[in-house]
Amino acid sequence: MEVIYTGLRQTPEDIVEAAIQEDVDAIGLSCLSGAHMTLFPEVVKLLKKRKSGDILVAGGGIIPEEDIPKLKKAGIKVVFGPGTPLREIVAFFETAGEGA
Amino acid sequence: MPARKGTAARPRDPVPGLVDSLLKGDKRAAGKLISLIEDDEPEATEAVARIHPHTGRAHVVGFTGPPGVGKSSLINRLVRTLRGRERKVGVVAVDPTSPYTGGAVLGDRIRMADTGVDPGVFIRSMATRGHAGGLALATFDAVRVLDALGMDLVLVETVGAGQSEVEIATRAHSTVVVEMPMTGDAVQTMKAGILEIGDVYVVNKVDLGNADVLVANLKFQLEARDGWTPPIIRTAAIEGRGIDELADALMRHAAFLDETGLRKKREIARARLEILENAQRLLAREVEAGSASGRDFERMAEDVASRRLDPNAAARKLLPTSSRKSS
Ligand SMILES: Nc1nc2c(ncn2[C@@H]2O[C@H](COP(=O)(O)OP(=O)(O)OP(=O)(O)O)[C@@H](O)[C@H]2O)c(=O)[nH]1
Ligand SMILES: [Mg+2]
Repeated sequence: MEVIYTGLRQTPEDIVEAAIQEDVDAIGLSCLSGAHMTLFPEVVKLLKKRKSGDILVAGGGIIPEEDIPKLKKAGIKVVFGPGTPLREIVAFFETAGEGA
Repeated sequence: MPARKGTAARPRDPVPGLVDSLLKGDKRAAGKLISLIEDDEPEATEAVARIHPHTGRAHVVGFTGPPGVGKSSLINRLVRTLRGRERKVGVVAVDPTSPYTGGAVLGDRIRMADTGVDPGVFIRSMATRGHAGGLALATFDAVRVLDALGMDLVLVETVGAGQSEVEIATRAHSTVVVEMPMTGDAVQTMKAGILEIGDVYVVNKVDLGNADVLVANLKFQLEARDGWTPPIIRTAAIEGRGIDELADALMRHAAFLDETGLRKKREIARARLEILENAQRLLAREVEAGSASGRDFERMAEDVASRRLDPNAAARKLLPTSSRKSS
């Protein structure tokens, strides 16, 4: 598995553009600023607009429990809250790659 | 943090449609075609065959130099400068895959992220994992994709390890060798052979001082080749210093190649390499375990090991009858 690290403070447009050029299977978003409710769904929306809705989107960072169902409804496949064991995250991406 | 698996996780699109979209400038298609090449999928052969006639427009520039010398930083700045001159720019950055886990964190993109959503820029990182036909072949097939996408220049960054410099120099139109001054008591050393391959030399990190010795050294040692004396450009990539001069030098070298007919010569040299590499790859596939010729291959290996046959005679048996004369 290869991970392409794009750096901090990327706009949703930057992220989607990088995902398309690198032809990734999944995007992992991390947000600590509290703007996840707008930023994460925006990434999903832009992907669909670019006919790339098949790219899986996962989120993480400081996300209140009550936001998780809303994010999932907006197309975020999975949300990892603070303290999620690394093992669980790795396992998710490994199986996601095979199943998708 | 986008992640890419080395296997065909998602269904692949049919190649003809992807190539049609590529030729219309579709970046999504370009990304997918490069994945086919990177993963060494069977469809890659058809893809390259369809793309090849539509290439030859882009000027290909290879960057080489020791780890951490500032290749990615320079490319990032150069992309912006070239965009300012209305040139479309593709970048292929080759990163070493970890030999331990088979995975890789491809970080070159961080220092190249400045150009974000500019439609005239396409940046792709490639891992070095398992390429039957050699890494350079796959890398330059990816360059073909960006050429066909309509990029005016394609910049290739590779790790300056092993033979990769020479591999780049024989394939790119222009080769940029990046070095940096040593600080303190460290003795300035340059890799053997590095003075023969560059068309442009960059001394980066001049902001740290001590550049004069390195520049003088280079100037003293560099000689003209085919009527071209490689310029030495001082840069500080983090401040954006010297980047205009670097862009100018590359434009001058591109014009020089056209005026002298050297461009054509370089293209033919690259074609020779690529034909041989493809032949080697075809042979390797032919004798893969399981096939009839694979069993013959195994038998020959045993015969060579037990001294009933010599390796050269065995190799000749693999070639078509017309070329089996001893050599
Ligand atoms: N002081 C100074 N630092 C620089 C300059 N250019 C790059 N750097 C720093 O040098 C480090 C390596 O830069 P990169 O651009 O990643 O170098 P690279 O040659 O691409 O490295 P690899 O891809 O790992 O081989 C980074 O920390 C840069 O910020 C420069 O002109 N001056
Ligand atoms: Mg780099």
